[in-house]
Amino acid sequence: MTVTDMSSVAPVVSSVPDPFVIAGEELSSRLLLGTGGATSLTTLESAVRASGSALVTVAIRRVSLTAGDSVLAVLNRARVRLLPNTAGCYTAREAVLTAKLAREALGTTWVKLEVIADDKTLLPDAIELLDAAERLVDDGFTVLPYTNDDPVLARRLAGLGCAAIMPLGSPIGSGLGIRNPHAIEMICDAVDVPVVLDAGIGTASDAALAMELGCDAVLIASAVTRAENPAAMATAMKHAVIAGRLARTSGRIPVRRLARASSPTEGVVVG
Amino acid sequence: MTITLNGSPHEIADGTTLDQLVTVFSLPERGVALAMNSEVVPRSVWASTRVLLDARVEVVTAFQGG
Repeated sequence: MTVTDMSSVAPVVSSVPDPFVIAGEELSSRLLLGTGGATSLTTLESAVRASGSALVTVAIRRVSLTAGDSVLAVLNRARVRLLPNTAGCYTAREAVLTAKLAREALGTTWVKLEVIADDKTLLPDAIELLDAAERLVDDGFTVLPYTNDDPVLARRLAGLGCAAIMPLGSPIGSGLGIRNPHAIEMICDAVDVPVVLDAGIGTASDAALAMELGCDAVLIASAVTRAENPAAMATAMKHAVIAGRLARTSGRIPVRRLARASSPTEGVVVG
Repeated sequence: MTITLNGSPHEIADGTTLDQLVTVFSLPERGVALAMNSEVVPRSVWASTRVLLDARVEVVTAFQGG
């Protein structure tokens, strides 16, 4: 019996290009990483590298007079693009000022716009969010709003000129996964800009599901940074996002109520 | 005169400019931004901008954050 030497078989690689583009900029990964929650900068650096992410979020906070090695140094070494957020802002006014400070400090017009309603749920305040998004778009920012899983709000944000829409799967840091998959699908259908599932991812299957539902990318922080092994979980998420995207674009089989044999039904041995 | 720097009161000399303020408090030069009374002041004009009486000055940088 001969066994095929698999090493001589050319690997099958999809030749169909599938670029991920936000505001005209192509990103090499559909996994965006948040940096909050890592226990050390060393842990963070290994997770960022393992994730393969090209776009990584940072928060904007008051300078500490006793600062050591900064997150900026780590992210510069990893050669990733920075996405400053407006986390901790409760009003459009605060968020706009924070975005402007981020632009000045980091030299980027990109901003992950977060305007939250309270610190218990960390849910977006839709009214303040729309106000801030409009002001920042008018000021030339590339705005990526963290928003509710509401297709109508998503359409309004896209209509204002936001560069992507980032609906939550469930509350920030909860690890509850995607609680309303139908709403996420509707958002993907409702807007022409990229949809990035943001918040709520707990494990790799959540990330794969987001991509299978039609999201263009996934943003993950806690699920990686607070995992027991952040670098290994970052690797898992990287593969989950790739798998989910490929599954989404490969034409899954329709769901059937009853079985359909995959082996030939003729020539069955009769005993 | 008294100002509020990142939420804490501080005494500084009258006529202090923003670039002098950054030096006096040994604040990092790179990757930071400064706002005075809720208006961002571009670095290019720090040297020519005096800290106002009772000003609220915020100096910020990037931190870990989702």
